[in-house]
Amino acid sequence: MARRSRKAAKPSVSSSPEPSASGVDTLDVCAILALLILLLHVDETWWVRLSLTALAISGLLFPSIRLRWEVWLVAAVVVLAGDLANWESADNHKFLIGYWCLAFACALRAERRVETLATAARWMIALAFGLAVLWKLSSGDYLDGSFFSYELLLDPRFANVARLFGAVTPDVLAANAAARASLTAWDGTLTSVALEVPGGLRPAVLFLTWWTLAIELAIALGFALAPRLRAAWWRNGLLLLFVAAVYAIAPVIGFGSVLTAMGYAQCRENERRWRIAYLLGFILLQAYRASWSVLNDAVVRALQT
Amino acid sequence: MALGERLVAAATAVTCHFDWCVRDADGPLLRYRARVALSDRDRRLAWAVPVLMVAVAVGQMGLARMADLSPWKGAGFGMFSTVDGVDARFVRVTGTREDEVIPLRLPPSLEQRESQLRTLPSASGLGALADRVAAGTWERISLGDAMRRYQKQRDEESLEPRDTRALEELRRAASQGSRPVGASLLLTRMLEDAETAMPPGEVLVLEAVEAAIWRFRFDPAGPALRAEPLQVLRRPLRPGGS
Repeated sequence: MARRSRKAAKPSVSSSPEPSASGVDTLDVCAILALLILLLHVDETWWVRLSLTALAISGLLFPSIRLRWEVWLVAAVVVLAGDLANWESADNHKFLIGYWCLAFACALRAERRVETLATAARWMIALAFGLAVLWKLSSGDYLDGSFFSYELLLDPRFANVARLFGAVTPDVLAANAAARASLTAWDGTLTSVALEVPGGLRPAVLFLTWWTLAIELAIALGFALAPRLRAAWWRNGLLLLFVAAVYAIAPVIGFGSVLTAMGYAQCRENERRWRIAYLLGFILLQAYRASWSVLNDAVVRALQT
Repeated sequence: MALGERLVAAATAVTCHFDWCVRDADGPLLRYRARVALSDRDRRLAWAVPVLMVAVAVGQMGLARMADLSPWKGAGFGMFSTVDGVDARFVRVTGTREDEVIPLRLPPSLEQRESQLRTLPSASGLGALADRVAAGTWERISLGDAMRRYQKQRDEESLEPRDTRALEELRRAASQGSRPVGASLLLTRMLEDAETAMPPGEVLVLEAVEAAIWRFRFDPAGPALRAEPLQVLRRPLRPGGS
């Protein structure tokens, strides 16, 4: 008896610790977030849209469906088939959504489903950011500042940032857009066009170039080395900062949503506050999606006054 | 939990990358739940997708380096790393007739093929596009201004009174540098399938078709956008068109 009680006092190994200490079923929350992403952020061809909407609504209404691995395998196949059908235009986060569904299907086949999903999520975040860093480091026109100069001078998504921090007026943006349109016109014969560049652009370009590279590298390292790093704020805090800062500028809300969903999934049992932060981040992104341009313009106006 | 057991658990935590701990619901002590390594099967399931991600990304990088795939596309996570996105690439198609080089605007039915070529240029894709353009029926259309067409129609239908005020506005616009009233634009367009040339359109007989994929780069010294052809293909259609 004494032996038995000593054995019971050893560190317990739970084979399926899915309901966390707070009583919330981690896996179920992850499934709901992924279904919401399928419902809101996959907008490819009609057959992808139709089948994923049906699947997502069924999963949200019937809890027994959303934890079946077959459902997630079908979702992954449909998303990735849609990406392949539109390979010339499919953004990277569309593939990441498909990968996430596949990771879910794999995790649901595992014995330790939460840990399996957490491991996959952690490495998927590390890889997404690591690959992004690799591309930036190998790209000459990123490192010399050309990329962000171009974005600030010509990309309408960066118009407000360009106006606030680079002194790029709407007239300059319009002139540059017209120059690019002339260069790329189907009946054009030009091989180069001059751009208008205001004097105060360089500091903004340097900041954006190196800040982006630094935070992406820190996130990639933070998630890759997570088991050896006890500091949760590093990886979780930086990822949430990245999502909050980047998607306030570039409205790729689908990317932010899948990052926050994976961030939630990889949280440890004792990181409940971070889980709540990821959930809030996910909700805020959806709200932001609905009124991105209005909010963005309001912030710019407020900062300018 | 006894101190010794806590020490054992802590040691397990360090050596086994232990990182799951929960506070007991009924007590202040931390109860450690050792996170033993995942079983081989679970580990394979956890790593399946990250390995797939790496494999796809390696393929994407290879295609970007060797076949000019845009780094923004192809699931390699190269977005926002270079100017060389799909928008920095464009397709120019021209037809040759006698000594005249005529820019050809691709119809909507070829837009996806054009977009694929901008993302991943290929000689075969460019050849297919040129063949499709060459096989198409091109007509030259002349667009007069809408006001004159309207006036003509009113005249033919003998409707009175004429709307001379709008015509005056057009004349005023013309005097300020717009297209002069009465001048016509000369355009070429490719007929879609099952569409026949309508008079007064003139069907163009082309001697050769040239298709080119261009890419521009940002030149910080300019500053300017400078374009260069990535691939050019010329397809003679008749003996004189080489």
